[in-house]
Amino acid sequence: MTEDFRAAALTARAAGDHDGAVQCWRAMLDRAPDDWALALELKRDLKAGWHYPDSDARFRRAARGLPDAEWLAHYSALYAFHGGDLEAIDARARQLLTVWPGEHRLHAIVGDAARQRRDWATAIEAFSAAGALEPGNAEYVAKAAAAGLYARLAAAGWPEEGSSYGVWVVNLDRNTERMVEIERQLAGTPVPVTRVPAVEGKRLAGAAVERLTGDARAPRGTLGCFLSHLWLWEAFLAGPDAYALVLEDDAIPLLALPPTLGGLGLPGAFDLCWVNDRMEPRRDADAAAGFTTTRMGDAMAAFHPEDNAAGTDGYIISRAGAARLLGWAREDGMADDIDWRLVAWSLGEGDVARLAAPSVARDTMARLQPSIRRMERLDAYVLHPALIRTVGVSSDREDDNRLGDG
Amino acid sequence: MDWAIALDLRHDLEQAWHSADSDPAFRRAAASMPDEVWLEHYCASLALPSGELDGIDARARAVRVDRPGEGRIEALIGHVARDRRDWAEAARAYGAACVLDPGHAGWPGIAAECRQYARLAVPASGVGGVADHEVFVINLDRNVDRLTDIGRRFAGFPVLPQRIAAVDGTRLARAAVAGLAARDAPRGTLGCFLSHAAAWERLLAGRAESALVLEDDAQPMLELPTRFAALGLPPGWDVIWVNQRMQPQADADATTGFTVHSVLPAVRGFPAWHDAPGGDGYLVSRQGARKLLDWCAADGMDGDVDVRMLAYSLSEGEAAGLAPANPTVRCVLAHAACNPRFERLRSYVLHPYLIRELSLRSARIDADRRSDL
Repeated sequence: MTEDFRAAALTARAAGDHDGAVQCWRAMLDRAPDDWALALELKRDLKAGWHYPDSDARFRRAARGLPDAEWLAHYSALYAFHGGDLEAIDARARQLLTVWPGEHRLHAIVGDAARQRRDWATAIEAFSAAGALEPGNAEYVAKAAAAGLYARLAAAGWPEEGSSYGVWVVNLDRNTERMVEIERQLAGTPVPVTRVPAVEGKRLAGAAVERLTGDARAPRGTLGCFLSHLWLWEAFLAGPDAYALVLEDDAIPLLALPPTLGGLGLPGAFDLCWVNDRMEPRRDADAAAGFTTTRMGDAMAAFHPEDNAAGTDGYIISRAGAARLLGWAREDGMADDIDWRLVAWSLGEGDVARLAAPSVARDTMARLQPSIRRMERLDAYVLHPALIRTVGVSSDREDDNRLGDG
Repeated sequence: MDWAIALDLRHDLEQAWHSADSDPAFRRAAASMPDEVWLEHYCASLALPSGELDGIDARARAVRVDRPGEGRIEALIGHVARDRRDWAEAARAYGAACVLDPGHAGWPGIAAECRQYARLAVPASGVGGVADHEVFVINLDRNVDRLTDIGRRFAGFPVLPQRIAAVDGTRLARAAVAGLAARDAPRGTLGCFLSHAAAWERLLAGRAESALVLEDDAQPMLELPTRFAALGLPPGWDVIWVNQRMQPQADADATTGFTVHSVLPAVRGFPAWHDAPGGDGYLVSRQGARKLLDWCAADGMDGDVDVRMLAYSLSEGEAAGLAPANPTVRCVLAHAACNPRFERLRSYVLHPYLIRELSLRSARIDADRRSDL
C-alpha cells in the first residue's frame, strides 16, 4: 500500500500535479507520522504547489524528527514559526548550540522564536550574537535594532486614555487551527476580540461574481476576501467602538495590544491607518523614539518597486472610514484585491505620479484608478513601527483563486 | 430525559419558528413522554425525525394495543411507512385511520396518494444503465444533521447526491447585497438564490446533461430513475418541477403513470393558501442552467429563486392572464414585472411528484431574521 502511494505521488509529481502528490504523501504520513523523509517529499510538492509547508500539520509533526542539518536548513529559512511549535524549536536550537556554538543561524532561530513571543531582551541578545558571528549580515542588524525598538515601546507601556477600539479577526470556518493560533496570540488583549466568519468566495457562481466585479471570471478567493472585509466594516458600524483594528488570521501582534489607541500617535481624525509590517516605512529603528504616522502618499512613494501587496492583515479603520468604504465599494464594485483597492482609494493623482516607475504599485494603480468614480480620497496613513506582522501561512485566497479557475 | 422540560423547550422553539424535532435534546427527552403526551406530539408532527422512525413505529404499534380504536395512531404508523416509502403499509394504515375517523379531512387524500405510489414504478427503461443526470443537494455548513439525514434518505439510490456547499447569505454586507440584487434582499433568501446558482454552474462544469437539484429537506417518494428521459420528458426542456408544491390538481386514484404538464395549468390551480413553488426538487438541463445563469447575471438575484424560476417560465401574456389569487402568483407577477424577458424557460411539471419537502425549519427564513441588523 505504502509503495502504491509513493508510486502515485511520484507519478503525480512528474505530471505536474503537485496537489495530487501532496494527497499521497499525506496519506503515507497518516500511516507513518514521524517519517521525516516523507516530510521532505511532502515539503517539495507543497512548495511546488505554492503552499507553505509549515501550514501543514502532518509536515510539522514529522519535521520534528529531521536530522540536525536538515532541521537547521528548514527552520533557519522560515519567516515565522507555527505558534504550537515555538517551545520545541527554541529548545532544539539551544540544544544544538551546545554542539555548534559558532552557528549563527541557530542564534537567529532563538531570536526569531523570542521575537514571536515578544521576548525582546532575548531577541536582542540572540540577533546580536548572530550578527557577531556573521558580520555584515544586514538582516541580523535590522532585527536586533527592531527588537531594541519594541523593547523600548513595551517598557514604556500603553496609556489608558484614548479612543476606544475593538479587534476584529477575519477567519474562514475551515481554518480552525489558525483561529486557535491567533486566539493564543491575542490572549490577554484588553479589548473585545470579534471573529468575522469569512466568505467562501469559491461558492459564488460566475453570475454572482459578474454582478459584483463586472467579470464572471474574476478570482473568487480574492472576491471572498473582499466581501469578508466589507461585512466586517458593516458589523463594526453596527457596534459602539470608535475604531476597529482589523486583523487577518495569520497576524502576529508585535506588542501586547493596548487598552485604547491613545499611545499610537494617530492623527486626530482619519479614515484608515495601516499597522502591518508590509506597509511599514523603512526607518532607522535605533533612532525611533515612539510611534509615528506617515501620510499614505508619502509612504507609497517609498514602497519597494517589487513589493506586490500592501496587505490587509493589519489596519485600523474609523467609523467615518468604514462608512465611506462601504459606499464606495457599492459604487465602484468589488473587483481586484482589497488591499490594492484600499491603496487606490487612498492615493490621489499626485500620489500616483510619485510611485516608483516601473513598479507593481504603479502598474496596479494604472489598472484600478479608472474604476474609481470620485475625486475624494481616504484620509489614510501608515504606522511606524508596525503593530503586527504575519505568520506566513499559505494564502487561502490564492488557493481558492486556483480552485475557482479549475 | 426530562420530558416536561422538553415541552417547555418545544414551546419556545415553536415561538421562534423552529421545529422542535430538529433539536436533538428535544428528540432525546421526547422519547420518555407519557403515551398521551407522546401521541399528541407525534400525531401532530408534519415531519418525523428520520433517524427516529423505527422507534416511533415500534411505540405507535405498542400503544395501539391499548388504544385500538384511535385513528390518529394508525395515521402515525402510516406517516412512518410513508417516510420509508413502504406504500402498501402506508395505504393500509391511512385507510384504517379513515375507517376509524371517517370525518378527517386530510387522511383520505393521503391514503389515495399512498395507493398511487404503491401502484407506480419508474418505467423499466429508466432503471439501470448509465445515469443521464447528477443529483445535487444544497446544504449549509451548519446543518450537518440535515446532510446526514438526506444521505440516509437517498442511501442505495443509483445516483447519489453531491453536496453543494450553500452560500451563507448572512455573511454578505449590504454593499454586496446591493451589487447582487437590484432591490434590498433578505440575506437568507439571497444566500439560497446564490446556492442554486452555484448548483446550476456545477452542472455546467461537469458532463451530465441535466441535474436534479434538491434542498436538504427533500424526501424522495420513489427510488429515483437512472434515466429521467424514461419519464417522457418533452424535447428541449429547461426545467422540470418534480416537487409536491408545483403539482397540478389531479385525482390520485386515477393516476396510472407519470405525465408531464405545462406550468400554466398548475399555477392556475394553486389554492388560495399557496405561498411558494418551492426549490426543493427540480430537474434542470444544461441549456436551462445556462439560461438561468445568464438571465440572473443580467437581472440580479432579488427575491426567492423558485419564484424567479417560475416567473421566467411564464410568457408575458400568460402572466397577464393570472388572477393574483394566492401569494405565489402575486410574487410571480411582481418578479415578471421587474424582469421582463421575451425568451422563456421551457418549464414543465412532472405528475405525480418525486420529491416532497419535509417541512423542517427554514434555514433561509432563519437567516433572513438573523441578518436584519
